Parts: sequence; structure tokens; C-alpha cells
Amino acid sequence: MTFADAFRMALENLGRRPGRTLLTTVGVIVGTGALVLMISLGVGLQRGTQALFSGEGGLRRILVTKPLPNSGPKKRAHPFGFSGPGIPGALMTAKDVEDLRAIQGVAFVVPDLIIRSTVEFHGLEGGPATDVFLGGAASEEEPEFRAVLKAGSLWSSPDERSCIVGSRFVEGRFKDVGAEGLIGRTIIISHRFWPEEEPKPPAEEVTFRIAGVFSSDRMGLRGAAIYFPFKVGEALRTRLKGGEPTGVLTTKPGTYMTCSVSAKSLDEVDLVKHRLNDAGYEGLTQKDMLVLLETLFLFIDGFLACIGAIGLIVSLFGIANTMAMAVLERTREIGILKALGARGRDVRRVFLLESAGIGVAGGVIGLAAGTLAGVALNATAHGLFELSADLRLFHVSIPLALGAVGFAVLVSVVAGVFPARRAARLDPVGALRYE
Amino acid sequence: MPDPLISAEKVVKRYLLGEEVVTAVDGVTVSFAPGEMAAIVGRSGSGKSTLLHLLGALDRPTSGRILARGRRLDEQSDDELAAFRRATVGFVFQSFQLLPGATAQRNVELPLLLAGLPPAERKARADKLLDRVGLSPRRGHRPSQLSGGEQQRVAIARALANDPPLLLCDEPTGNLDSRTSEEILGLLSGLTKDGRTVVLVTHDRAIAERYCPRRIELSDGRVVTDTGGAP
Repeated sequence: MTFADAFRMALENLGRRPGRTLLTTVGVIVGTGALVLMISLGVGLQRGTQALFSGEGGLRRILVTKPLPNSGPKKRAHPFGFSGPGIPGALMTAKDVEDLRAIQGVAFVVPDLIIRSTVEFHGLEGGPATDVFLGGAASEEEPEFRAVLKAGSLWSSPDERSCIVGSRFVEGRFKDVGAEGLIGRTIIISHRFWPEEEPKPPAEEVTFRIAGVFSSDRMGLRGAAIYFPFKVGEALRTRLKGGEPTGVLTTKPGTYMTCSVSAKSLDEVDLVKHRLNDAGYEGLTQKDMLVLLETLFLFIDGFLACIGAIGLIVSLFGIANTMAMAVLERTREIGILKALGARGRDVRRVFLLESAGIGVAGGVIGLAAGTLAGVALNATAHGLFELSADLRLFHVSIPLALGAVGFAVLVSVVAGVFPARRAARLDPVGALRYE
Repeated sequence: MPDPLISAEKVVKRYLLGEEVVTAVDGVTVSFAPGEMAAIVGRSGSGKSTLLHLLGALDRPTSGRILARGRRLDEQSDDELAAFRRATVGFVFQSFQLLPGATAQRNVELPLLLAGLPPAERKARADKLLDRVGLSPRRGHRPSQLSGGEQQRVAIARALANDPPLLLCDEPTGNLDSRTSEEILGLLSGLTKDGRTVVLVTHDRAIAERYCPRRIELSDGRVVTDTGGAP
């Protein structure tokens, strides 16, 4: 029997019991759809996170902390075996900033202000945004910020009371206005936890003009939503006493939790990291983060894939049951085929093609269903949350699509192996007498 | 006597029925020449159908030898036996054994499909065979739409599809009325004219005597008489 004839016979056999074939295929559709959805979530999150760490400016950056006294870097427990800073560490001061600047290969050092506060957008609909992280941009890193601007410009002087806002922060919030529409508007810092005994600062001290909108997706370890000129930002932090309390962030003027160190070139990043380790600091590069993220997402993707695969594995039993029923029902037909000269492998091939057919149909439809569900969930997530326009929480890649359909077919064929083998081994005389 | 097409030598077939060993065929030695029309007769349970299955390589003997043109079948693999059935044997059963979901045409094409013939050739040969058994107008009908006699004629056409030299018929008229039975038996006996061997299993002595020059009677799995064969 040729493959084409076996294939046609398998399709005809599936078509003879349309209801049962459909129900069995639905199991594979649900299983494949769940698998695609789960893995596409992992892939989408991974891509979204990794996008943060692209760009040469970001890759030259090292996030530096100072270990607490009596807790050297070697004593720290690192879950994935990578070397990096631990938080909380000791507070860093202006002297630390100077020491870091003195390290060979360092282009510039920017203390991270990390102010947490509440922000209102003047003249725009919507309530204040809470838990917004504010930062300061040093003059040395202005070219990097300029390179990632999506609209507007940077401030023209380091004392200017203006700011740039992150696209991820504003795109979800002010879709109608757009990045261009925000330029020239003002934000007001409205501290939720303003101490009652202190007078609130005058409006001019907490009002800033939006000069530009930068792409949040390319900021890597620099993760604040709004940046001010460094001096302006530092003055604001002093005025706000560090911002809203978190229990972790420092509120003491002139002290910093972390500093951003920029190496002069990409080649020097690891060298600079070693040098600052030798000087008693700990550094975390974006490369370290990427390695950590890859390891982390290996676990996340694996876990999500396992959850998704459960559905398909459950459908395996449905297919096995359907095929076992088919063997029973068609025992006499198998006897006829064998009497007419069919080999065991001919019979086995027809049954395996039937189960594979269920896998292909269920896999392809399940892939389409999972992809559509992902698209719908992406749209819902963008409607509900403030997400960057480029971010897709569910991302179906070509390897994922091929892998999911392939896995569905594999599971289906595995489910059909035992019934097909049983059919192939049937004694022709006994099969012909089967009622 | 010309060289036999198929022969059994001291063939024994035992089954395990629950815990009891049943001897269905007990030391049968018999051979069939090309172009011969023979009947195996006997009462129910005499072992005639089992002997037919052994001759057609549907089953293997417990002991003894089955030879097809001098080649031992009992020593061959399952795939080799399948190839032997495909090329050498045509089966006709009492209950027709047609695929219920397939048309008459498709049923006749089935052995050709198993032999790997291309669709156009299959169709041409099936058309010719259905024409030969007088069923051309019913080629598109399913077995449930055909009478018993028509179904058996489809089965005969199917048995002839690969032009086998040996036709093994197990009670081919058992489910048919007397008039239709005569038509079918007339058709079968006509097949020996082109050198084909037809072996018929029947419990009806009258049929055997009327249509089969040679009659082999089995009782308790043993040959009790073998009459009318070529000298």
C-alpha cells in the first residue's frame, strides 16, 4: 500500500465517525491552545524584558552598590551563581562617587536618586499616578538620553525646571494625547505622605515642564519613569526627604543607594567591574542582568510550558481511547484487509496516520486559537494597564508555532502507537470472526 | 497428476479453547492441481474452514507443512505470508466480508490498492471485474444497498482482482437462496477454465457433487474420503 493510499484511507476512516473525531480533536485544540498561550506569555515577557537591555549606552553601564560592612561579596548567596550587588547595601556618599570616578576606564558616574512619589499631569484627564520613580540625569549621559528621545528635546540648561518622561509611563495613560501632545505640559509632584507638621512646598518648587518623551524600552538598568536634570532632581529629593517611604530607599540628603557607572567602551565593562570590585564595591552589568534573565526565563518558560503541556498530555488519553475504540470497531475490517494481503505495517500505518491527522488538525487549529487568544489578551492588557505600545505580553514566534504543532502531532502519534500496534498484530482468522 | 499448486502434508492444527486443547485438523495430507475445482465437505466442526485458512496462509499449522508450488509457507514470515495472500490467493467468504463503508468499486479495488497499483489502473481493473460478474451498474453502491447475491458477486470480483491462481471459498452460498446459489456456483466453476484452482468449503453434499469433480470429506479433522480427483 502506498503512503498516499494509506493517508486517504486514514482520512476516510476519520470521516466515518465525524462526531467522535471532532470531540477528540477539540481536546488537542484546547491542549495546543493552552500550550501556545503559556509559552507565548513567557516569550513575550522575556522579549519585553530583554528589550530593556539593548543599546550600547546601556551595555556600558554598571550598577554599583557598596556592600555592608563585614559582608564581603564572596559571602553573599547568589541564587543563580552570578556576581552582582546585593540590596540593601551600605549608603554611598559624595566621596564614594569621587572614588568611583577615579577608577581607570570609568567615563562618568551618576548617583541614582531613586525618588518615589506621586505625579499629577496638569490639564490632562486622569488622577495622579502613584508610586512613580523619579531620577536625575547627569550632563555626561545627556547624549544617551537624546538618542532615545521619541518626542521633544532635553532641557537646555542643568538648572532648568523641566523633565523628560518615559514612553511606557505615558503611552498607556495618555493614548489620545500622544507623545508629541505632552511636550510643554506640566507635571506636579504631589507627595502622598507629606509630613503634616511641614508646610507643603510652594507650587513652583514641585512643578516641572515636560521637555521630552524618551523610549523606556531602551533604558536598561536606568529604570525611572521621569528624569530631571541631576541638580534639579537632587534638590527635589532633598525637598521631598527622599520621596514616599518604602523602608528601603534612603531619605538622607547626599546619600545614595546605588550609582550608575559608565565604562569608556564596551570592551572595558568587565575590566571596570573587576576594578571597582577590588576597590570594595559591587557592580552589576547589563550583561550580568541578561545572563540572570536568561536563566530566570529558562525556569519561567519551562514552568509555563509544563502547565500548557498538561492539556495536550490529557488529550493523549482521549486520542488513545478513540483509537482503541476504532480498533475494536474495525476488527473485522482489519481481518478483511489482512486476508486480502495487507501487512501488519500497512494496518499500523493507517491507524498511526489517523492519530497523526487528529494531531495535525488539532495542532493547527489550536495554534490559531492560542495565537488569537494572545492577540485578544494583548489588546486587553494594553487597555487595562500602562504598557509600552511595542510591548507584546504574548508573543508567538515561528519556532513556537512549529514546536507546538509538532508536539501536538507527536503526542497524537504516541497516543496511537499502542492501538495501532494492537491492530497490526491481530490474528486475521480471529479478526474475521469478530462480531 | 500435474505439479500441485498448493498442498498440505500431515498438517495438524490445534487451538487452545479456554484450558482445553482442540484439534481442528489432524494430520491432513492433501494437494490441489492448477485448474482443479474441489470441495471440502463435512459436518460443522469437522475442520474444513480451518484447513481452508491454512491453505490460504491466513493461519499457521501446529505441525506439518503447507507447500505452495513446492515452497514451504509454514516457515515464512508474516509479511511474506501477506505477500503470498495478495498475489496467489483470492478469498470468498460466507458472510461476504465486504467493507461496509466502501462502494462495490472500492471494495474490488482494495486488493489492488494493497498491491500498490496506481488509481487509474485500479479503477480500470475493477470496472472490468464488476462487468465480468454483471455488476457494472451497481459499482457505486455500498454493500447495504446490494442483495446477498450481488454482495457475493462483488466479493468474487474482489477475490479475482489480483488475478490469483487459487480461489478459496468458505461456504460461499451459505447465506444465499438456492437460485442465487446456483448463479454463484456457476460463476465459480467457470473460473477454472482459465487454469485457476477453486477450492470450495461446503456442508452441502449436493452442491459439492453437482459442481465439484473432486470431493474431500473431513471428519474430526481427518480426511475420510477423497474422491473424483485427477488420477
